[in-house]
Amino acid sequence: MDTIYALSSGIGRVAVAVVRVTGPSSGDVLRSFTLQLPQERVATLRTLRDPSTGRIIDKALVLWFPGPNSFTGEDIVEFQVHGGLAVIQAVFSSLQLLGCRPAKPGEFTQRAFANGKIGLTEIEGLADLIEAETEAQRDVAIRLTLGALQTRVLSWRTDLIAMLALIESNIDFVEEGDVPALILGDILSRVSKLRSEFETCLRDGESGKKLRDGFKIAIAGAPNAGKSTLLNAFANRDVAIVSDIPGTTRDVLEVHLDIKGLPITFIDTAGLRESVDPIEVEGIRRAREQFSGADLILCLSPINLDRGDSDPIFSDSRSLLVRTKADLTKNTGHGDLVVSAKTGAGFEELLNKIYELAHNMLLTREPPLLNRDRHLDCVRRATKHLSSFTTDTTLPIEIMAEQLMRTTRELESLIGLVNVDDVLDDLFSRFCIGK
Amino acid sequence: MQSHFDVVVIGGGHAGCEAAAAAARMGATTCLMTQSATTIGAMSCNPAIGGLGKGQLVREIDALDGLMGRMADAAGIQFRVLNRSKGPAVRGPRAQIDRKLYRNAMQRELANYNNLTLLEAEVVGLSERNGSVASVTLSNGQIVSTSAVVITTGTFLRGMIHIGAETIPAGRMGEGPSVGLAKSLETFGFVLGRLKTGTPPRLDGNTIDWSALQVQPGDDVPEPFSTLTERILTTQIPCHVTRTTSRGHDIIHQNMHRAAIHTGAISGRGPRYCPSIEDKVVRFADRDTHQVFLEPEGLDDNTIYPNGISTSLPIDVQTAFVRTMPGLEHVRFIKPGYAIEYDFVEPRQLKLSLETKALPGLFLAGQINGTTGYEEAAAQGLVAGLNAANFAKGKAPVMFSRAAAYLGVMIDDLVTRGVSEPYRMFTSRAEYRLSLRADNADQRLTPFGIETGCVGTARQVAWQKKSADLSDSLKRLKELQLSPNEAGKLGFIVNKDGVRRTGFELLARSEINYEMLASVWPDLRDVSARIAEQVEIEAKYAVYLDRQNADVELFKRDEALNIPVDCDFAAIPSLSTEVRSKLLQIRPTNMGWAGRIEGMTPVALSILAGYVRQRHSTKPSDKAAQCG
Repeated sequence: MDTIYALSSGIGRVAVAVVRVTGPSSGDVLRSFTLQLPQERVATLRTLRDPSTGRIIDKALVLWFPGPNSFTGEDIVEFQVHGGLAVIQAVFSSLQLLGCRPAKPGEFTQRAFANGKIGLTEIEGLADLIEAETEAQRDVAIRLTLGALQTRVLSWRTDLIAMLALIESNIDFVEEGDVPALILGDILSRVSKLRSEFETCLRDGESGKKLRDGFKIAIAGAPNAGKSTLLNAFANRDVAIVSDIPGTTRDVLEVHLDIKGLPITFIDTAGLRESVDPIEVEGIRRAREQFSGADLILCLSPINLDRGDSDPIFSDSRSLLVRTKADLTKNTGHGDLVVSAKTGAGFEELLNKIYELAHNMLLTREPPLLNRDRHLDCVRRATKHLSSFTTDTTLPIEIMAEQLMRTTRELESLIGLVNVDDVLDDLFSRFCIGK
Repeated sequence: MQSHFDVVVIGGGHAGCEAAAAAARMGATTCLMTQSATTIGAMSCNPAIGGLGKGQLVREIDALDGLMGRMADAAGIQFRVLNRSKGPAVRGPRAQIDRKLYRNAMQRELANYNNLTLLEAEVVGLSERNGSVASVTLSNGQIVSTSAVVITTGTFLRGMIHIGAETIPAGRMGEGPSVGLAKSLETFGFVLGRLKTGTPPRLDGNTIDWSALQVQPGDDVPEPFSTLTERILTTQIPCHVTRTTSRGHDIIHQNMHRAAIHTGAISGRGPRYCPSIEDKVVRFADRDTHQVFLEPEGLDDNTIYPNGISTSLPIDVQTAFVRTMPGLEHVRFIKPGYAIEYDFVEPRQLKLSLETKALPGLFLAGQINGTTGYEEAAAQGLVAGLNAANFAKGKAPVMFSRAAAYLGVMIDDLVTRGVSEPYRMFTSRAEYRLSLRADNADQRLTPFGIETGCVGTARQVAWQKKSADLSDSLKRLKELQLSPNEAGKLGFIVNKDGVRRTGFELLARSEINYEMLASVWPDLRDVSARIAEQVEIEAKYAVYLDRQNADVELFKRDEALNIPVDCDFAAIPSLSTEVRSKLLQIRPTNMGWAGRIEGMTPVALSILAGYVRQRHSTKPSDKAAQCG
C-alpha cells in the first residue's frame, strides 16, 4: 500500500498550508522530518528538517493520528507549514524522496471508504458539503456527512433481516420445532410501517433533490416584456444581455442565487412569439423545455400592454403572473404583482412571494435524508418490492422472503455495501485532491 | 489384485460410495478401500435421508446418475415431502430409511458396478511423485499405485468418542479411528481443525409404550427420490412423536457439569443447527418441552432412533432423562448416545473441483471437509469422484455454479468461506432458490451430466422422454387461449380487457390449477402427474423466475470475469493486508468468486478488477466445464 500525500488547503500565497500524509509509512515520514513522534492527536510545534540534508525547512505544527482512529483508518500525519510556495515545494520534494507519491483526487476519502471508516452516503454528503452554497444545502449535506441516511438505512436493514430470519427459520427449521411461530399479521404490519417510512422519505427526498439542485424559476413572457431586466435586478449584476430590441435573449441563461438561505436558480428564456428566424425558433423551443423542468414560472407582462396570457404557459398551474414596468403607468394592476426594475417598486413583495413558494417546496418538517436521483431510485425500487405484501396478502412464504431479500439488496446498494463500482468512479472523480 | 488404479477412494460411507461410483461411471478403473466391507453404505446417525435443502441435494445426485436416491427409494419405509403446505421451491422430499435395506442395496449395487473394485484395507499414508499424488500405503505395508485419490473418511480422522467423562478413540462406535492418514495429511502441509457432532441413544422399541404416543404417518402416496423409480415398493410404517418434559430438563441441568461438552474435554465446535439436548435446554431456557421424533431403524428391527436428543451425558443421566418422556418410562437402551470429535481439513484449501490446492490429484469429500449430513457428503463425493476420474485421464475438471445447483452452492460456500461449525445445507443458502428446486433437478443437471459422461443409458433414455414431454406440454399450454368472456363463462375471474390469455398465463394465477384447465381442455390430461405438476410450478413462479434469471445473468457476468491462476495477488497495490491474505489463501479464479470472500470490500473488488484488466487482458484462466 502506497503512502500518499496532498496539499489539503488552498493553493496560492496563504498564511498556513496544510499537507496531509496517509499510509503505512506515515510514522516513518514524520520521524524523518522531526526525529521523534509527537503525542497522538495533539498539535505540537516542531522544527521540520530536510531528511537527506538535515537543513531546516520550516517550523510547523504537526499532528500524528495513528490508525485505525483516523480519517482514512491508516496512519496519518498532518503538517501545518507556512504557506509559501517554496516551503510547500520543499516538503513535497522530501516526501517524494521518502517514497511517498501525490494523492489522486478523492484518494484520501477512497481509502477511508475502503477501510470502512466512512459510508457511501457519507461520502456523497461530503461532496455536497464541499459544494454547498446556501445554509439549507449545508444543513442537509452535514447530516448526510454525519451518517444520518446511513444510520437510518442500517436500521431498516436490521429490521428486514430480522423478518427474513424469522421467515427463513419457518422454512428451513419448522419441522424441527424450536422456532418462533411466524405471525403473518405481524410481518404485514412491520412491512407496512417500513413502506410508509420509505414513502415519507421519498416525498421529502423530492425536496432534498430540489434543495441540492436549487429551486428552478423560469422567467417567461413575450419579447421585451422585461425578463432579462428582471433577472439582472435579482442578480444585481449584468448577466443577460439587455436591450430594447425584442428577441435579444435567444438562448437560455441561468443565475444561481441565495435567497434567505435557499438555493434559487433563475432561468431567463427567449421571448415567446411567432417567429420565422430559425435561431429564434430554436430559442423558443428551448424556453419551453425549461418550463417543463421549472418549479415556478414567472410570467411577465408589461402593465402598459394587454396581459398577454394568450400563451398557454400563462395558465400553467406553476405560473405566477408579474406585471412589469410599473414606472410606465399609474395602473395598480388590480391585485396582480406589479414591479418596476427601474424604481425597485414591488420587488420586495415579489421576493417574499418567491421565498414563500420555495420555502414550502424545499423545506420539509425534518431535513430530507435523500437528495440524489440515486437515493430516490433505490428507495423507490425497495418500496416496489414491499408493495406486493399489501396488495396480495396470500403471498407464499418463499416469495415473501424473495421480496424482503430484494428490498434488503436495494438498501445495501444505497449505502454502498454492494454494487458500488459505477457510483464510486463518478463520485471520486468529483472530489478535490487532498480530500 | 491390480497394481494400479486410475482412482482410489478411501472410505465407504456416503461420500465414498458416490465418489467411487461416479469415477467408475466416468470409465476410470476405481478401487474403493474401506476398513470393513460390511459397513459400506452404513448410516451412522439418523435413519433418514432427505429433508429441506438435503432433499434437493439427493435429487441432484440422482440427476447426475448417482446412487443415493435410488438406494433410498429401495430402502424407504416412510416418505414425506416436508413443507408441503409451502411453495414448491422450499419443499424437501424426505424418507425414513431401513438401515439394513439401505446398506444391502448399496453393497449389492457397488459389488456389480463396472470398473469398480472393493478392497478391505486400512490406508495409513499417501505419497506423491513429481508434485502429484502417486500411491497409497496400506496398513499391511502394501503400496497401491494410483493417479488420483479421494479421501472420504468422515469422522474417522483422529476420531474420539465422548460419553460423559469417558473417552474412546473411534471413528464410529466400535470402529477404530484413522490416525496414520491424519498424520500423512499434516506432512503435506494441510491445516486440520477439530469439529464435533453427536448422536442420541438407541432405544428398544419393545420397551416403549406406543399407545401413549401421537402417530405421525407418511404421505398417502410416497414420492420417490429418483426419477428412475416408478413407485415405492417397500412396506410403509408410521413414526411416533413424544416430547421432553420439565422434569427431564431439571435432570439435565443438575448434571450439566458431567456432560462432555461442559467438562472441557471437547475442543471442537458442534453444529448450531443440530444441537445436543444439553445445548437446547440451555439455549431455549424458556421452553419446558421439545418435540422428539421416534424413528424406526428398520422394518424387522426394534431399534428406535429418538431424533432431537443427541447427547454426551453419562449413561446414567441419559437413562434417567429419557425415562421422563411420555411412553419411554420403562425404555431400555440398546446403545448410549455420544459425542464424537474428529479432525477436518479446512476446506479453503480446496478448489471448486474439490481437489486440494496443495497436492494435485488428491480430492476430499464429505465430513472431512467440515460438513454434516449424509446428503452433503454424498453430493461432494459425486463431484470429487467425477473430477478424480477426469484428473486421472488428463481431462479438465467439472464444476457446478451457485446458479445451477445446491451442490454448487455448498462447494462454493465451503471453499470460499470455510467452516466454523459443521456445515449443513439449507434452502436459504441458495440465493436462486426459486429456480433450484427438487422438482427440476434433472432439468438443471442431467443434460450436463450426459455431456460430462457420468449418466448411464437408462437415465439418458428416461430423460429424453421426460424432456420432450415437458417441452411439448409447455408449448401446448402457451398455445391454448381464452378470451376474457370465454374465461368468465368457465368461472375464471379475469379482467374484461379484451386480452386473450394463454393456458400458461391462466395457470400462473394462484386460484387456478392444472386440473381446472384440464376440465376445459381435456387433451391436457394425457401427460403424467409429474409433468403436470412441474408445468404448474413453472407457471406459478414465472414472473419471479424471469426476475431471478436476470439476476443469474448478472451473476454469470461476474463469474465470467476470469482471474488468471497465476495472478500475483501479493503485487496488487492499495489492498489492505486482510484482503490480500484472504485472496492469497483462497485464490479465486473469477471476479464473482472474489466478491463472495468474507471481508472483501467493494473498493478492494474494483481495485482487483482494475489490476486484472490491466495485467492480464482477456486470457482465460482455467479450462473447466462449468454447469450453470
